[in-house]
Amino acid sequence: MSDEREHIVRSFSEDLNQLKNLILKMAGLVENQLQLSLNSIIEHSSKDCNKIIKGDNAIDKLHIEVQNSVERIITLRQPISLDLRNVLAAMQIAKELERVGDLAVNSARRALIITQHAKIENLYDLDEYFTTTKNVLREALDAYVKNDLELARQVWNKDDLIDELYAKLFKQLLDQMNNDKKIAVPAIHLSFALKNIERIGDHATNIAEDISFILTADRNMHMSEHKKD
Amino acid sequence: MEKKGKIKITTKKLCVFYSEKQALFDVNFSINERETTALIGPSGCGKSSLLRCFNRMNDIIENCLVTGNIDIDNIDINAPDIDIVKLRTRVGMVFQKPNPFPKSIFDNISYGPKIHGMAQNKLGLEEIVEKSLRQAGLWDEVKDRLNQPGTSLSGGQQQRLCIARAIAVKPEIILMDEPCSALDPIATATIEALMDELKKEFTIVIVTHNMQQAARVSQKTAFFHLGNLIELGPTEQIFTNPTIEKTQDYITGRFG
Repeated sequence: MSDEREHIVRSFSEDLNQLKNLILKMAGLVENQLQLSLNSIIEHSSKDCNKIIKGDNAIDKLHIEVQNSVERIITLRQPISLDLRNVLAAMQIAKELERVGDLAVNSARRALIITQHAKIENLYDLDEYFTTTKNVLREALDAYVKNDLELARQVWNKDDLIDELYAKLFKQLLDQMNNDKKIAVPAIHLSFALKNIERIGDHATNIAEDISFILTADRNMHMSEHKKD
Repeated sequence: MEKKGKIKITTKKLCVFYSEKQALFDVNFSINERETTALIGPSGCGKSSLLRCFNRMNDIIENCLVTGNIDIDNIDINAPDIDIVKLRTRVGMVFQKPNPFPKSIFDNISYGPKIHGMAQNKLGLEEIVEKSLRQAGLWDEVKDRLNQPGTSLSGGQQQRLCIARAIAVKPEIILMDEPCSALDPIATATIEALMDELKKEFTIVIVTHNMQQAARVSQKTAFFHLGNLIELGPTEQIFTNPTIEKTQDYITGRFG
């Protein structure tokens, strides 16, 4: 069950809302970083790479703010049950977002090197891979905003799709390297970047699990049961 | 998996009335032996009324009527042949405000055993007093001043004296009606630590407004609202993921 109703002590509700807003602010920055990072690879352009690298500071600062806010709420409000789960999950989600931010930066660093070489063409699933991962993160965050368990489950179920797309792309890249050894340097860096994106998919899945935990108090069961279906 | 304890107290269709006003509605409820059960709920929900049923303290309240069944060890405590004095020896009570007798520390403890003929001689009484005070965690603090008035003790010590007084007559059940609400945090922590020990030997039922306390000291929690038992369950489950929305509302402070 979720509960949007206010506490009798309104400032408690305000604290929880402010915590959620911090997460959403962090999410906005992270999504933007991810978009820029993916664009750098798709468009084979390094113009935004340094901006992405510097932009990580703001995300790290917000992460610290979230941690401080969680500590404060636990100390002063002693939340229990649903409220405690919200606070604990916020801490987890912030950590996942911070990691996504780091992975976007790592991909930008890879893009800086990739773009020094000729673009590797004929990676047929690249667009779908990037779009799917971006969307999965967006959907996970939507599920968080809306307390939507079904949406969270859908996100969780897409993890396999991302893994399959990564495997296909990795094979396509390997095949190209076998045919043309000159692309080895950009190809290796691109494979690392692709791996980063696959891990972003994992973090989106983790966020979906955190949402399930908030709403059901169950860390595993719903997801396991749903996957068996 | 939850360990199933032996049931000590059961109620069936228990109702309490104060003149025309009904305070408890058809409460069906059981309490396990050697466990602490917490009764929580907003003011006026009937939890203290329920507590007073277990030692028939409601009998002395004018215009109070109790209907339904209350069994302790499968024996109806409202049966006509029940000895109320013996019942109140088996079911002790500790109140919100410490209420030592206006007697010495020693006499506070020895009074009950003396009138119940529980000691053969002075030495026997002294043994009972020492054992009770040790069990209540008070012996070391008062052993050198047993002749001083019970009222000379601090609030927390007075409450432990009252607990020692209750356990001196060898009860099976101890009822506690907000035992720590008049105490400072350190005294409260001392009482809570004592409760952890006492539940090994006694069945404890505690009424508390402090939900964190209920979470800390009890194994089972019952939530009451407007005279109805809303939810009863393992304390951990009640405070992490209650089944009933009203319970969730109360424990998270969405209504009082």
